[in-house]
Amino acid sequence: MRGLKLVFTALIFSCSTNAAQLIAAASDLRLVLPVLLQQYQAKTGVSINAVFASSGKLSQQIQHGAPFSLFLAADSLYTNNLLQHCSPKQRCQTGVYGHGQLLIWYHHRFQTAEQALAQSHHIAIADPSHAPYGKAALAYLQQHSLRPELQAKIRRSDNAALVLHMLSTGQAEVGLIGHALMPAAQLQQLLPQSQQQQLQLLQKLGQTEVVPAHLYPPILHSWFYQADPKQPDIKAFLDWMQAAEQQQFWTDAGFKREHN
Amino acid sequence: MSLRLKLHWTTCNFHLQLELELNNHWIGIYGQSGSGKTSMLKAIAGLLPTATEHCSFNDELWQQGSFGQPLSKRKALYLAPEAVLMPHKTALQQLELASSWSKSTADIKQIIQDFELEQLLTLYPSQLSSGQQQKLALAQALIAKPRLLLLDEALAHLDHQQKAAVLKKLKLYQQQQGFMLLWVSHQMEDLCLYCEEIIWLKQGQLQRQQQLSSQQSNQLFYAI
Amino acid sequence: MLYPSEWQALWLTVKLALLSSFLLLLLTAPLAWWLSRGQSSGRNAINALLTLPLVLPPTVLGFYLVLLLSPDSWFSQLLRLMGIEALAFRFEGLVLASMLYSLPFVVQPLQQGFGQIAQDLLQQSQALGANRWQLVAQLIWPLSRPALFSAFILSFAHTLGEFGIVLMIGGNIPGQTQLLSMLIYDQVESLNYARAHLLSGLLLLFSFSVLFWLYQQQRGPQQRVQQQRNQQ
Repeated sequence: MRGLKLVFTALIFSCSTNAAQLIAAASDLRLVLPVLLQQYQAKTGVSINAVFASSGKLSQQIQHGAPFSLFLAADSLYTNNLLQHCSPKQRCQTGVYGHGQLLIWYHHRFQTAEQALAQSHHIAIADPSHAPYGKAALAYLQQHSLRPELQAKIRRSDNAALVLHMLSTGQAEVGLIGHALMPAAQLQQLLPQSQQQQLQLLQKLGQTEVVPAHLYPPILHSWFYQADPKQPDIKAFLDWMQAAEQQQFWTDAGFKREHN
Repeated sequence: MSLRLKLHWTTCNFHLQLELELNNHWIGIYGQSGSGKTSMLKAIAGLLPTATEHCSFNDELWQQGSFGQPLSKRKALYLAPEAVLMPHKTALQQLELASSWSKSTADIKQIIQDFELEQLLTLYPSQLSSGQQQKLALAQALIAKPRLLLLDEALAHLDHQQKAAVLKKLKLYQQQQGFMLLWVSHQMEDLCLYCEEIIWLKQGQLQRQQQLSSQQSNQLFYAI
Repeated sequence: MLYPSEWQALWLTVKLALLSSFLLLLLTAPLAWWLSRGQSSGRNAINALLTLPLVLPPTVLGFYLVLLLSPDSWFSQLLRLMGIEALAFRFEGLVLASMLYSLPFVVQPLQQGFGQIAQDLLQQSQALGANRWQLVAQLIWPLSRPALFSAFILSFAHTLGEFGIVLMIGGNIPGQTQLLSMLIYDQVESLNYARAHLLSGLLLLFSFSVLFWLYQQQRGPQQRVQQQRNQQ
């Protein structure tokens, strides 16, 4: 009995957390952002953790009090919306840090992306209601000449990362994803082994093409920042990640910089 | 020693209407099944508050209207035909608990000896025969030194010989402790042998209430 | 074998399960006792209310909890008056959520266990002179221990498997709300199949062991005592 009591006292008092530095990021950064955070830690010694979900979900969580002082969204709609709900004394800021690009992946048995769209059974996209890349993908499919047929083939998954699953498991032969989920080869090499294997598998199964930017509305990756005294290092990271030295990283990750 | 009781209880197929006063120490209750014997004992023990209009013992009010003396203050022990025992305690533990709960000074060892429970002390209720359980329940009750002991066929599972021995000891304890005993039994000859007064219930009504001398008891026995 | 972040999630999960089960047991035992003592419309209504988390999808509970726990809700303002920060996206909020979520898994077995303690045994013990504390300590506690035990294990196991609500109210914050189930989801989404395999296997093994142990116990302390006695 005494042992049990001790355990519970320990439980109750062990709630204290080592106030980790936390940022929230859209799912399309799931693979590449940890690499950037590692580089930042190597450089400055500051450890920052990222929490990933779709932009819509994260902005809803922040609105309900989630403790993220920096939010990297895949759509400026969400950051602007958060800004509007900010009181002046919270000192909120937003800005665009890059243009996201839409990739189309299709199975090797199709010759071209057009043929794949026409002949495939299923097209995987992220859920347009809360995932910006899903929204862009839907817009792209809707402007296509085969629109009525394509509409019926669309399979929605919860977020961009899950689209990769549907592709690698054969549930869909065509998929539309953020470029950052299939980064350039030199960035891929920096990923953990298991992620590299999965990406290699996908590259073996099919091929990717960048969807021409004029075929869908621009995907404005924007950040939202609110000062939080508990997380003092976040602002420095935000400045660092937008500095010129990190240009190559973002290019490898499939982003076009804002000023280009 | 006096017990006053007024019962009024109606369910769909049973109507109980009783008013009586009891003054003897050893009272037998007789009647067919369904005549209200069990209900009467339970009412006295405080287990049927809705049926009891009035109950008092030695001028101490036990039940009237919304007032009910708590069970632990009545010291009226009802022993059901199937002994109610704690399934997780050995016979000895049951007796010891009864002693500590009732803060009684009764001699546990003596009672164990009197009711021949020595062999059973380490056993759990589920390992006892129903007769042994009844003896244990009775011993437990006597340890608690009740003011009123209500036996509802509580010796029925004992064989003749055992029952005679138990009754003899019970008589002894009754004289020693001075409690009032109400005893429901179907065995008229037992009732007549031990009781000073017999109550005869029929269909929820008092049919007959009679003081007994030894002679009368024989008459009553044959009358029935 | 496990990374620190995984140890953290594992420990957090176990801590959440232990703490919420323990608190739940403590808080609902008196209620379950009352529910087990008889039948009435009031009891039925409360029973229905307590069983709701079993039928409702976690999203419903999650949705209400998001509203309830968010910093501007009346509940959070009440907490602030008492000097407590809003519970959203914090471990304490998860404790509250899993207590709601596991409610039926504690109340049902408790109610059943308490119900098996016969009324006439309680009455007889009272008539023998037992006071309230003696009844609880010497009769109710030992007789309902198996029920308390299985209620605890069920709630514990159920909390381990909690996902839907955590997804909605947790925010997946390491060290606060990132439970093992969330971490697995995260690893799968990040294409870290190897880690997902490892963690899922771990949880599978652990849950199986707990349930196996539970059934072993349910075969009964009572029965095992019986066997021992028969051997004597």
